[in-house]
Amino acid sequence: MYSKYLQSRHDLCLELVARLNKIYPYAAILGKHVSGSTIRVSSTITSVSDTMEKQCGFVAKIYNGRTYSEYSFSDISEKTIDKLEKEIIKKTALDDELLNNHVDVKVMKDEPLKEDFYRPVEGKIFSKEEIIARLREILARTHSYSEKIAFCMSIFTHYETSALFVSKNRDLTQNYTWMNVILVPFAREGGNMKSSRCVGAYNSYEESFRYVEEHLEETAQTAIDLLSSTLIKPGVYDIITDPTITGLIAHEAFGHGVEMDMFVKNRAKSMHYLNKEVASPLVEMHDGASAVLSAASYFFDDDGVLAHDTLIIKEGILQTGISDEVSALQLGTEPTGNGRRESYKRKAYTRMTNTFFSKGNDKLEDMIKSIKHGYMLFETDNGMEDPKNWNIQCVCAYGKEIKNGKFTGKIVAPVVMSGYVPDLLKSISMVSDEFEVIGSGHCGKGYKEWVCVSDGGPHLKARCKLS
Amino acid sequence: MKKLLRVLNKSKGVSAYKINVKETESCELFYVGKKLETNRASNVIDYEVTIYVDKDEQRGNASFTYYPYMDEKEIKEKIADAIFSAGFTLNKFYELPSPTEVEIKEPETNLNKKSFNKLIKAVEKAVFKADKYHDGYLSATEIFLYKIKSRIVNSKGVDISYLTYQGNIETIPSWRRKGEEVEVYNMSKFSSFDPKEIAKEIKEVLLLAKDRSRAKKLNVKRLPENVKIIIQDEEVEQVFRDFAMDLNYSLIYQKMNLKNVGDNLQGEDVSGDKLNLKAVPNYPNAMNSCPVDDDGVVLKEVELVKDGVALNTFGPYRFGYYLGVEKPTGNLPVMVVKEGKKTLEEMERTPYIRCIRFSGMQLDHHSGFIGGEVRLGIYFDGKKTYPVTGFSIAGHFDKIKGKIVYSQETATRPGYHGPKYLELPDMAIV
Repeated sequence: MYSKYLQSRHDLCLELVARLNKIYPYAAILGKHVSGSTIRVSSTITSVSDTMEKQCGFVAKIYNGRTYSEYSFSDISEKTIDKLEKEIIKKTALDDELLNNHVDVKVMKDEPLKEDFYRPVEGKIFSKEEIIARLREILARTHSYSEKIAFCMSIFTHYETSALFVSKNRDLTQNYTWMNVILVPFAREGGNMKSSRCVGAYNSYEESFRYVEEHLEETAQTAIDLLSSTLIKPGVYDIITDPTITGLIAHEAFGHGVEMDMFVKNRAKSMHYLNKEVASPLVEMHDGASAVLSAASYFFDDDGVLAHDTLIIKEGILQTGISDEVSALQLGTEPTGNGRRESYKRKAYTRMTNTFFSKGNDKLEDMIKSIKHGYMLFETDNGMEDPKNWNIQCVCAYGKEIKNGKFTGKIVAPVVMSGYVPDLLKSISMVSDEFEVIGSGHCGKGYKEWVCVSDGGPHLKARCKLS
Repeated sequence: MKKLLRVLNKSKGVSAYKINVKETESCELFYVGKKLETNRASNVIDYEVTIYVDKDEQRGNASFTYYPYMDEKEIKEKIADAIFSAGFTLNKFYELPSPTEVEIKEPETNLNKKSFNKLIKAVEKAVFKADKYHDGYLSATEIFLYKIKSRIVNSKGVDISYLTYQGNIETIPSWRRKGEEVEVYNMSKFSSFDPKEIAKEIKEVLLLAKDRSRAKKLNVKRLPENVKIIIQDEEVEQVFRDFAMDLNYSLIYQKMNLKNVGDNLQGEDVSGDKLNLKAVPNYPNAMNSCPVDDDGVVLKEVELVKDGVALNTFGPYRFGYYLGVEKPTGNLPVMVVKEGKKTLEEMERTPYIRCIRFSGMQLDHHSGFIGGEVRLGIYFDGKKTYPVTGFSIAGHFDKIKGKIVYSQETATRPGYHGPKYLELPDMAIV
């Protein structure tokens, strides 16, 4: 349900925008209220807290005719609106030295739109009691799977986002939900301890739990199998990715490089490759809050721009990037609904949403059969972008060895994929007909500004350096 | 806050409570090249309330966010929901910390001597003073100044407030060479402003970008035998944090630690420098310094490791209580490690690769994997040095932790003071 609090402040925000519009050519206010809970049940501790994404507050954005300024604040009321107006004017004021040394940026288009958007939870809403009982059941089943499971965590996290965006011509509200169930079993043999992970991420309590419950034994067995894992012999191998690793490649290898605030700063190599070949002709890549239903699906972004589905790569050719509104104004392009903030306390940047490769026509079994010696890589650990120089580092939790088209039973962990992005993307030779987007990720810009994202796609066959 | 306390103190079913308040003022500038794109300011406040419910010698807890807009009815609803939740989270009983006599001093910083609007211009000047190269420049810069007032209140009488000041500068130094451009990433964090230090650091990172522009792909097949790996700064801190992990109450209580007090954390055969490690509340210009932790525990220095042998444990009050520790240390924010005897110059007399920028070094505590892709390194083949790129390193931490050599040079980071460089043996280079 849309936040009663934001609803109660809606008219005050309109009033403040009207006052600021008397002074500035453009003014807008974004209000954000994210609530929800995180429930953790482990072998030793149970805890309940507010969701990590929790926030409630506002940010005012103004254009002084030369640059954009912002002021973040926690509350607005009839008593404080006068003081707040003065505070915004005072705290965002720039002296001549700063004001005369600015980028060339125009005023926001501010096209008229008034709309309320709503995406409720699908199916039954579970009570905290039901959630804890189900998490405990998952935990008990995981422990009973094997004595080697020494420790286990099951986590439920749910967040409900309400946002309002008001400017002179725009008056938007939205409300949507998302949730994750996560299982992390740790297997132990003496001093050797290994973990695995399973995530159910849907806009449904039942589906999120069911996914983990259906994959529980497989997840526990993976942790046990990892006890006998070794480090890989470093080298260049044929690989097959699972959808999480496919998503990691889409996100880290290429997605960050097409964030167009990087174009503005001359930080993205991809800006020189528009309409050029960057990947195998089998590759199609999308990003967009409306591209699929997942963790980063919203109706409008933090600039008040409606959600898009952006086709980034088509048949291996780079089509376009994604952008927030201020970057688009500097580049003379259209914003793509990718202006996102970590919270109302932080600046909006161009950020990915749901990023994925499209599915192809190959069967996974044929892909495995085609490998003479290589690895199938599983489960994203982390990755790091390098948009200017297109180096790639993707860390996979583990890999399974394939020889002469069959799994040998040997597991290596962890596995670091590295190399040059176009080499990796051009090496893609098979794309499976299966497709999955995993909606449980968090992404930073550089080393900060964390937002919820999803990524995924089909299985890919490629070739790259593993260590 | 008064309203919240009044309702909390009247609430039946609340056995204890804790409130953490963080009030943040910020001043921020965002540049594209040397031109201002956006300026920001903020004045925000966050309240985190934890309530505790005791039942059958057990204690449950649940936390919620309080917003100043809430009226008494809304606060009561939040508390009732938290009591309900806490009833499902009954864990082993633990006390909250009691008040301790402590004098909280004003932080030693110059960030409180001028208004942020004036100060941020001085920071901006120091940053761009170093941006003076024909082929090198800062493609993007973000400057943040924060004043943070933290307060911890609990139902046992703890009520402590303290101020911290922080500065962050994110820069992207770039360098043009033969029609191509490269960049490196840099984040400076400080609790006191020294324009000369900032200008020096920016100059250094611009020259790193120059090195990266000249860097050639490392030919790993032509490396001399026994070429050593040297890591620095952030990755050095990561290594020492991994050593300390097994001594944290939380890991010990959950039986996830691999070593115990009395064990030699470096293994039996130590040929490298011996580890001496302390956890401390504050260290000059270590930005994470603070006098108390989030539970209200007044922090004091603890010697954790002496000559490689684990002496003490540390960590959150609750897990310390569970383990029967008489005076749990609380979460100490800064680690101090004793430096080694060898200088960088001595380390670099024989063939080496010094890894200057990783994509992100991985160090997995349980698998022992250490390694990652190196974006910029300096390679010395015994005769000449070259900037190199396009390679990865990999090793097994358990097998090398007794052989690591610590530098005499030290570095201070937000949560660390100690050796600036480490010499890692037996690493695969691919």
